[in-house]
Amino acid sequence: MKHLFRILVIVLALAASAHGEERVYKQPSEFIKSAFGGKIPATSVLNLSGEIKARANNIMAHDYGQARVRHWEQGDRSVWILEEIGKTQPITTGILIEKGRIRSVEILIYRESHGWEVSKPFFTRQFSNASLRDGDRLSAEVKNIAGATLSVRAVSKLARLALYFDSLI
Amino acid sequence: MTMTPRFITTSVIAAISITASQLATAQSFSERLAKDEALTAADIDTSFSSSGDKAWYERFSFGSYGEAHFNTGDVPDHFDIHRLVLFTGYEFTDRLRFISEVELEHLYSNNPGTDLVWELEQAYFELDLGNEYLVQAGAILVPVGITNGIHEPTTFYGVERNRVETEIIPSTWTEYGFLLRKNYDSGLQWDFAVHRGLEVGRIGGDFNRHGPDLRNGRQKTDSFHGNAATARVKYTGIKGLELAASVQYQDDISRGPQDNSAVLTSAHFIYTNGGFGLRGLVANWEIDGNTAVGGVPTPGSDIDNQYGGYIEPSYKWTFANGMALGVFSRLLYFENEDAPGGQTEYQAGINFWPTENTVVKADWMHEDRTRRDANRGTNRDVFNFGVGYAF
Repeated sequence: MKHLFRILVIVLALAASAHGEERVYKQPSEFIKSAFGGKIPATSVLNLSGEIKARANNIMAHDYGQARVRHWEQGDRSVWILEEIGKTQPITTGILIEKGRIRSVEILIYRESHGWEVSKPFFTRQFSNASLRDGDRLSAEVKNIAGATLSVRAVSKLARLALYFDSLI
Repeated sequence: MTMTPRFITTSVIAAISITASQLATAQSFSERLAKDEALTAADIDTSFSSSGDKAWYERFSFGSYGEAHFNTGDVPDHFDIHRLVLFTGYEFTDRLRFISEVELEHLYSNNPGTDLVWELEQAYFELDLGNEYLVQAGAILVPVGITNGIHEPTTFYGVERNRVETEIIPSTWTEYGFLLRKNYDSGLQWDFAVHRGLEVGRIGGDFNRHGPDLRNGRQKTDSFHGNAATARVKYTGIKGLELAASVQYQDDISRGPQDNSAVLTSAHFIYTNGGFGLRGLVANWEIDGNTAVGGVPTPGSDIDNQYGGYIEPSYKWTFANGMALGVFSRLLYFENEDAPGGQTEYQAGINFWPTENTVVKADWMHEDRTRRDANRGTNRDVFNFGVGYAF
């Protein structure tokens, strides 16, 4: 067992020295294109300050840390690519909103080994058609996944944040 | 390869050229990003950068959890800063990371017999192999049970960890080894680990009808006795439900004269629906070999299984200000070398979360110890209070 363990560590080190791709489920640009008929609209910017910043901080339960948020919009649709840390790493999430309701949530880049369930459709489809209620809460019930609580919480916050930002544009 | 001065000079020039080229590209990208003008698809994708673009401090992560307990009732009053755990992680590349947790137990206790303990809880490399495979190597958590994988105080009800997942599944259970994991879009996950085994008993020790003290078989040193393999399947594809089952084989768990192979089987479920929660777990050890007195096996006296299980309903209210209050009850039974004949526990209590990362707990536990056929005692009522945090 000891020798096998040593061999495995060496193999891991060699394997990791080779360049590898991120665990990217979909490139952010592809998510935007899929929302707007294959094209990327001009980038828009929402500046966060004062009450807007305070409300964003309240939704995230911490200082959101961004002064400006890029997004893409056309007609009744807007796309937000937002990030929040699950346990230790940011979860890059794409949120498509139409007429004030979530059309889709997709995990674009997931960087942790725990909580991977949030990247799967059986979890993200719970956000479909959700809107923002009083108190900046989601109208849809998103069930927790044991062992992925922090990731579930992070993605839920991003969905609420995107709906709030959408209400401002 | 000979490191001549010409080779060294050529290499340095090449390195400077490559760096300058990348720097130029980065500056123009940053300028476009700052102005938000005419961002290309590549610009957008690069802005959510990979590890390769991160400074060293951005690759580093830190966390901690801790808890303090107070027990009273039919036990001596006991205050204990039970544990402080420090987590560190480092991302070498997008695919390779190092994760470690060190634990300080009993930082302060009013029990003179409780000493400060410093332990390594986890320390392993984790590599994404692609196609939803990953491998871990080092001091890993054995993939069994609920509490062994998730044990921050904000994640479970009750001040103390439940007895089935400390006595039967000896959480927190860390072993040297490696683990292969595969995730599926359906919500299925499987783990297969090969690792160091338990080492129970002492030469000349006794095994009563339930055999050895398994919890003390966790080898918390650099010794390497015994081999083991654990397989687990877990399914989370149904909303609000987690199902899992594991099986483990140990080739010889004891240092005594007889070979004691052992098989652990366990299964659990966790269900949540709004504020309602229900979880249950069963675990069973089959230990080969005979009971022993003074280290001498008693022929024909097979070791009985060690086993246990519990069921725990709960309800949690989450308020608009982010605070939450939960109530729970638990019915638990286990039978092992410390409780031959079995022990039943009834428990009820509350958790209050002032913030999502902090918790205050209080519970009452009734231990029915009268059915034990050894180490028998009177029933006990214990009141537990605790505070905890995790970030």
